[in-house]
Amino acid sequence: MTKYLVFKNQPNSGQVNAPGSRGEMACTIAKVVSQDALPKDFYIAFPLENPHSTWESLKDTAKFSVEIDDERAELWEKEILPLTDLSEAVDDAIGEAYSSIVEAAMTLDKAFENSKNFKDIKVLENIGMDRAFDNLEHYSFGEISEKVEEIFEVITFN
Amino acid sequence: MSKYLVITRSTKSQAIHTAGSVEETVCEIAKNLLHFRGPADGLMAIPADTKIATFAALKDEALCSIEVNDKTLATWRNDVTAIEDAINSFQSTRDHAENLLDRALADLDEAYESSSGFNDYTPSNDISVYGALDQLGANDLEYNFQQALREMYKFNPLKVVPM
Repeated sequence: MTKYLVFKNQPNSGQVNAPGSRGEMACTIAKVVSQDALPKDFYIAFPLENPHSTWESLKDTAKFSVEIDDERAELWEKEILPLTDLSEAVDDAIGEAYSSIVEAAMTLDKAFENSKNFKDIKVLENIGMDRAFDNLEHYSFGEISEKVEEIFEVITFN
Repeated sequence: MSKYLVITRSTKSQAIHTAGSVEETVCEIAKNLLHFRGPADGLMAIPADTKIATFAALKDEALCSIEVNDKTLATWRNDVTAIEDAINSFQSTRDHAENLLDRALADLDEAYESSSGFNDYTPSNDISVYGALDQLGANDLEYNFQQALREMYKFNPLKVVPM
């Protein structure tokens, strides 16, 4: 089992996590736990045994620690990553639904407004857009996040 | 104000209303308000003060009566068609969004169910896509618009519409 320290990657550091590496995995795990939408190389991770970690620890405070071993890495690849992707796909579908329905409602509102006899019907005032979409908030990402935090023994430092 | 009775056109009938005529527009209005599933030219509009109309009424053939004047005909041609198109477009956008969401949620449910560590949770239990989008109230809007049209054209349903 290896403990990874996850740091905020400094702009222009020239360092990125190697694609497919455990360091990259540790950073993605940190992002899932924090539930923040952050760019790909926002974080950089080093194994604790790595001399970089000590040096980085001196330079900056680590944001997270993440425990990864072969079994957990396999669980991440085979189960958790597909779940996070599908959970994000649900969020994307909600976002797409919202924007397309707002656009259609605005077109409908305009059609009423342009008419002579029905201009007093205000579509946007009658359609409960926010009420409907408040009910569409979905919690699976939160569920995943909590379990990921537990499985990978993630510690958030600040 | 002119009153018309609307009947189903006989499949054998060769006569159709002239394009742009009042009768043709009355059939379009009737199709809409009756929720008639066939095309508008599957209907026939007959001025109510004619013998044919009396005969149709006696034979219990009239589906509805509708009253129009120049102003309400212009409203139909200029306003209602555009609004109906926008309502249909809104409804189909909502249906499309429901399908997308439902499919994305079903995929997520399936992935949860087949996982070993997460199968005790079913995401769709926390969301009702159909219930949520019903909250949009678009059905009420369409109903109110239909009521306004029924009043404007003094729509009087006389018989159950054949499907």
